[in-house]
Amino acid sequence: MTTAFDRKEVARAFQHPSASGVLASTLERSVEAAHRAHDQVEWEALRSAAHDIKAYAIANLDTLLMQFETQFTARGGTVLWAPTASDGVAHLLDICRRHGATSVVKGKSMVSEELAINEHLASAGIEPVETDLGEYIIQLAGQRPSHIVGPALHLSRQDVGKLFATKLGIAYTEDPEALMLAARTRLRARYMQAQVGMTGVNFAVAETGTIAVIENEGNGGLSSSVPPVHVFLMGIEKVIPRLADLPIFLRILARAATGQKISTYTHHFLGAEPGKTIYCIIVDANRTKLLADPKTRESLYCIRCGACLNVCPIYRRAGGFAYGGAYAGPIGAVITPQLAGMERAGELPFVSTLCGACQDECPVKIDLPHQLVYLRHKAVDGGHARSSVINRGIAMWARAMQDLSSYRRSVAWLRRAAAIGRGVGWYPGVLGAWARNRTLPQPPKQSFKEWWERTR
Amino acid sequence: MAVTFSATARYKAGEHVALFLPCYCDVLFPYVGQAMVALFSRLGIALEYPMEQTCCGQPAFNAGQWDEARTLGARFSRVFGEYQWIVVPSGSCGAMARGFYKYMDPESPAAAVGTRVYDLATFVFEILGRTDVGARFDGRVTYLEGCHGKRELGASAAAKTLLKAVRGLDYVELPNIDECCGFGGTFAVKYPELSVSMGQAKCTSIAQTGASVVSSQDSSCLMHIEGLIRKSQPSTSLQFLHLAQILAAT
Amino acid sequence: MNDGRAGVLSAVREALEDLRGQVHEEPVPREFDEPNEEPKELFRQFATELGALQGAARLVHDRAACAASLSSYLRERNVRSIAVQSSPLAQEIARLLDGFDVSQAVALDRVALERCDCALLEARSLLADTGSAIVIMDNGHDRMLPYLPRTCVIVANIASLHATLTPQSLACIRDAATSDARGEALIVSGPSRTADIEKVLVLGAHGPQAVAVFTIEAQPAGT
Repeated sequence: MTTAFDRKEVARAFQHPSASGVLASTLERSVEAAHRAHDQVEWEALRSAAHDIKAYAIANLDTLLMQFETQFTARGGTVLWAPTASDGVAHLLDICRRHGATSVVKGKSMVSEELAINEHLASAGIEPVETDLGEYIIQLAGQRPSHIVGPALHLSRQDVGKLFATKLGIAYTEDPEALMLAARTRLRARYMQAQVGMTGVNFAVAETGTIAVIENEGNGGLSSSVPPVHVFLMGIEKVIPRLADLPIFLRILARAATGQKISTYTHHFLGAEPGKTIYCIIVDANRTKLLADPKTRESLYCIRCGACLNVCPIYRRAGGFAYGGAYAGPIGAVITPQLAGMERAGELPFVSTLCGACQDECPVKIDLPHQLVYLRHKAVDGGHARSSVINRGIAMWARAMQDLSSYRRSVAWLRRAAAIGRGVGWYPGVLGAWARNRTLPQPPKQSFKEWWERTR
Repeated sequence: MAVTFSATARYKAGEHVALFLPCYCDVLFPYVGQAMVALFSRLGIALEYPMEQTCCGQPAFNAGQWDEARTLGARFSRVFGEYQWIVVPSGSCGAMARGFYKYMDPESPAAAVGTRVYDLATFVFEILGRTDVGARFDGRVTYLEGCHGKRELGASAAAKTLLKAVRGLDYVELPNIDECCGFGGTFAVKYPELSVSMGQAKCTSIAQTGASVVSSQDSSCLMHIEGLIRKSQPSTSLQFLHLAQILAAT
Repeated sequence: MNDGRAGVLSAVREALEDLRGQVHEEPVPREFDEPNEEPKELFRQFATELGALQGAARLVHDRAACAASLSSYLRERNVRSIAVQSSPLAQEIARLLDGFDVSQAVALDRVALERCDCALLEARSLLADTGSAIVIMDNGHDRMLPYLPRTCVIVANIASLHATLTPQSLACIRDAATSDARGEALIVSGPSRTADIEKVLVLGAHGPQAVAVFTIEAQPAGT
């Protein structure tokens, strides 16, 4: 996982108008489709219900995880616990070695991105094969996903066409159907060879020890059914109490993510049938840091639908790579600083206007803008805020605001700075950053306070 | 955390009302305060202005500097503590007082005083129960929504209702009204490339309305958009007026 | 290998320290209204929804009619070989088919299954408002069936048709998840699809390009 908000990526996104234009308009279409889908159901009631279930699940996480383990084990599975990211990787590598795997076919999993599973498999001599079309594309391109749901949304069809022509040796085409078919044909052979299939987890049901995985392409179905070994990779937060809770999440997830009423495939895995070996790797990797702070606990309610990314005006412009981690957009800016460390990603929460569009969109009503501003406070307190000039300026301003006479002195100083700036056509520091693209309002001769004193 | 206003809170004639004027308005946009005084006077309320007021601490809060924000919040509670009704012509400073003092410290005096703070639109529409404030303004007006006023305070409907009730005013809704204009306080100078790009999208929406006036309850957002438009079109005929200025007009 | 267990669980408990002693009521499962529509009306809705997903739905009178209608559908699609799920209704319909190369999925390995033109499965439940079919597969061969062949045919009795996604309509999943059943319960809603390139919808991603659901009205005598 790399570091803080990458302004070079923003610059790159701005310089690549085809890509950023494609991204903005595809995201706008996603949001419009989601809104149409919300109207089909009692959206607000479902959001509240989903929020309440997640709140209960997270508050009782230890009990539910143990219950899940007991039930999953009773259904013939093996649970493996990973306190750290490297423990999770080690478990997977052990499984691959035990079953003699030379390749792993992978359904879509954000935890896999977070743990950089592909890099670790490759360095152990095991070939990771991404099977979701978007993941397949970015694996070929040597990139990371830029979006939770649509990993390759930053690429245009022309980009993908060129990539496939170069890497797969097919004739150039920009027809999405032909490109899909090329990927399908190549991946069919890979399913047949692989000893181990791996998928993420959408919901792990504590009551039954069963697991729901939701997808559209059928690659999750193939990855889980064709190889003799199936590994589920999940964060600790994926557990829900009961099977009866599932219909609520099935109603909201696809609507929020893609505007579908339901995704094409909702797999509900019931345990190992004869001839099958199943494992579930349960990963902490700093999630308990988010859990330990009551003000960030809610971020663990996330169901990874990507709705907050789609609507975010910053994400739409900066793109996913700017966030420097597996998770982009508002939810990424909230969880990455805790998962990867404040010292590495403490800047992310600052790259927001705190507009709150993400919270309106979130199907489980996570309090995202408030968590962003709270994490700013944690970053400042821990010495991980990057803009010390602005921080010092605000500290000075705040001191000046503590009594009326120093307030008046500051106002007089600002007036002079603005007048001088206007005279020479140059402003220092933040005034300059403002004035490069915007006119600076000129303070009238009389402030309100002065007017009030003169007229009363 | 959007604040819901209690339907039972109603202003009774003769009660004192304090004007909480954002500090940047005091210096840059004093006519917003003057319009507040004129508007409330027409509504039969003599606004009081606690001279000691400075800054509510929102810039510090948003920058993560909560020690400074807490100090200014405590100061705010001393300056405004005696007032039952406090009205502010700003959604974001209103959200600071009403929501964020409480978010930082639920039991603090600032959190308690904050519950008595209302943004202009909400105060007039919900607390005074007025729709028609007796204003007259001739022109085609669009409304730039401040995100905090809309999402933290739920002031959106009140502001639009008040505008639409102004005689002579031709209200035209801004396309993509829910989308942030990109001001975001220090964000505007820390990430100018993003801020400007968001602002330009807003300018395009404004142009689509054919409005001659852009109004808002937040002078800060208005300053950002006005700054962008004036930089590229110095001779623009567009006017940028705070909601208070339109409601005060006769 | 499980030394991480104590580590994860103690970290979780420590993180939740502030909630200790508080009682958390388990939220009551939300009730959903299940409109009591006529089966034919439900089928119309099911067919509309599945059609919107580019799948096909046919209502057939009885099992013989199902086999006849299915045969013509398969011939239109040039299907020659069919692999059948080991479930009673799929088996019975398969027996009534004539002129196709029909195999039991349990007798085929993954390579042979991949070569089949068509899968024949049985739905335990149909959901009208999402055009979905719920298939329960208890062995590894059947589990590959919904994805490997290019065409996927699902047969069901009309009695299994429900209005919407509710705990009642998911009862077949509950029964499987609370019994000794293994394998997978799959809710399939139309042909496989992707929109990973510029959000352009493409049908027939890794799974089938065509999904057809044949719904049988009449129950055989004696059942």
